Amino acid sequence: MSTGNQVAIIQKDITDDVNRSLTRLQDDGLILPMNYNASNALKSAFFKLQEVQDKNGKPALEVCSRESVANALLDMVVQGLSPAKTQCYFIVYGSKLQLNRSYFGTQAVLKRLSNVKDIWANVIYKGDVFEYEVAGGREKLVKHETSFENRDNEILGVYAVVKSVDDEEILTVMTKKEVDASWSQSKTSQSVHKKFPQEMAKRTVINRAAKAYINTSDDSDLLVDAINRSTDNEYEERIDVTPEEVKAEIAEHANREVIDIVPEVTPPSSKQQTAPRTKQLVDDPYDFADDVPPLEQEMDF
Amino acid sequence: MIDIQCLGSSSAGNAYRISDGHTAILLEAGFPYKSIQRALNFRMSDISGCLITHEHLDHSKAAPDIMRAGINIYTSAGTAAARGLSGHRLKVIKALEKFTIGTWTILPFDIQHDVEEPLGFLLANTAGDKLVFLTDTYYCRHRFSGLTHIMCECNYSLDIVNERVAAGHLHPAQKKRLLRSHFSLENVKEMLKVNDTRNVEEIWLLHLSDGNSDAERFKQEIQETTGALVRVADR
Repeated sequence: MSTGNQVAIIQKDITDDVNRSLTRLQDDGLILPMNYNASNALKSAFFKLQEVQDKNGKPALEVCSRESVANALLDMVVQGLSPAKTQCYFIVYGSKLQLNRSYFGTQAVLKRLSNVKDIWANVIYKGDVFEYEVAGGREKLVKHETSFENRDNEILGVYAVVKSVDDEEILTVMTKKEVDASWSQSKTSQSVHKKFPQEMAKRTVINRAAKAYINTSDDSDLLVDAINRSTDNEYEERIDVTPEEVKAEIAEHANREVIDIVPEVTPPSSKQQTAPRTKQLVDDPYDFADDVPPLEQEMDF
Repeated sequence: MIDIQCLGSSSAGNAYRISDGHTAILLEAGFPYKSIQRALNFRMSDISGCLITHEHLDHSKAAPDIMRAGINIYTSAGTAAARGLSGHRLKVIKALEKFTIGTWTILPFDIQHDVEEPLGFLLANTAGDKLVFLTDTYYCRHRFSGLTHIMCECNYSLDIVNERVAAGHLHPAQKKRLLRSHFSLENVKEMLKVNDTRNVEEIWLLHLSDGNSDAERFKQEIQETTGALVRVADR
């Protein structure tokens, strides 16, 4: 009961902080989506937060600083994301809480931009027919034919299409190698990438496609900053990134092929060792030699 | 059972004597010949051969003298050329072409360092011992199976390096070279995770940098990662 009270107090304090910041941001020009209810999103977020733990199994609300919690929630609200719709989730890094977007979330924020109508992604499997062209300097999808049987094949690449308000469709393609290089920048151990490669590949290409639109949009800088902060949260900070080519090289080449050797049997002992036994045999008509171990050479008087 | 004796493991010099009880081998020759002699109690004749990974002097300094002492040097053509080695005591070896010294069967393999033709070594014998020797590389292309012993460079930790760059103790250009030449703690852990370490009896961490490493922490983290006995080669 006391724990419940503490959480309620924390929730009220942080919620008040976020609401005050939000009011100030809206005065500065931020516009939230029409059907978005910040209060509902915050309640939903706190419900989720009570399940979030750090890597030692401690509850997020215990280990995270209040400011980082408030900032993560503010980023959520500014982007108009809903944790109930799995558009975003919270991760503890040390003593900081950070907001990460799922690709539903990235799609949602992209649709908020005034110049974007829709965005979607598909995976290219081995055996698919995939053609695209560069028309007027822009990549455009010509054809993507696939079949149900191909879904279990090797992933060759992934693409995303952004439909603008003018109904123009712009393509972004990534090869498997590009996707892998992108994943190697990820903070996580990539275990989820290995389990769900299709979904993670779509997410990667949507983030790639979204970048060009987000940073050139006419929308409020407050919104764009919040979007970019959440994207950056997934990657190690720039100062800690080893030169990209080194990281990519290691990701591509390290610990790949298994090499092994079968040890060769020691060659038979030299003739010198054979001679003494032969000699003994000659002098040993009753075959007693095996009962007595040969003398060590050192003991030869 | 492999007996591993560390004669030195730093940028001042590297050398290790390993033996399975039958055949003793010298790994690296990074000290003056007299120093190696003294460290081995002047029993150089026990050594059946010397393996050298690359031409830097902290790994190959005594090579000419070792050959003059009647011990074979096994190294790559690139390393031999860079050090000007030649003669009948020089045995030129190639990556992925195995050879034998006494009871040891040895497979050299390519590693990643900023030199001519560096090699790592995989050694096995019929007693079931299998040792990998990996130093002065920033990653390894290969994986190994059934290892009983691992001797691996663990030169720096990225966070320590970053701290020192930020504090001005390490020049960013030095960091850049480091990232392309030496094994970080993070990469070592990654390598150990993907290799089968169930049979590993002993792991030696080699070539810890004076300023960019923390022996106690490295040992602790590698022990946590593998559950194996971990030794840090000091000196």
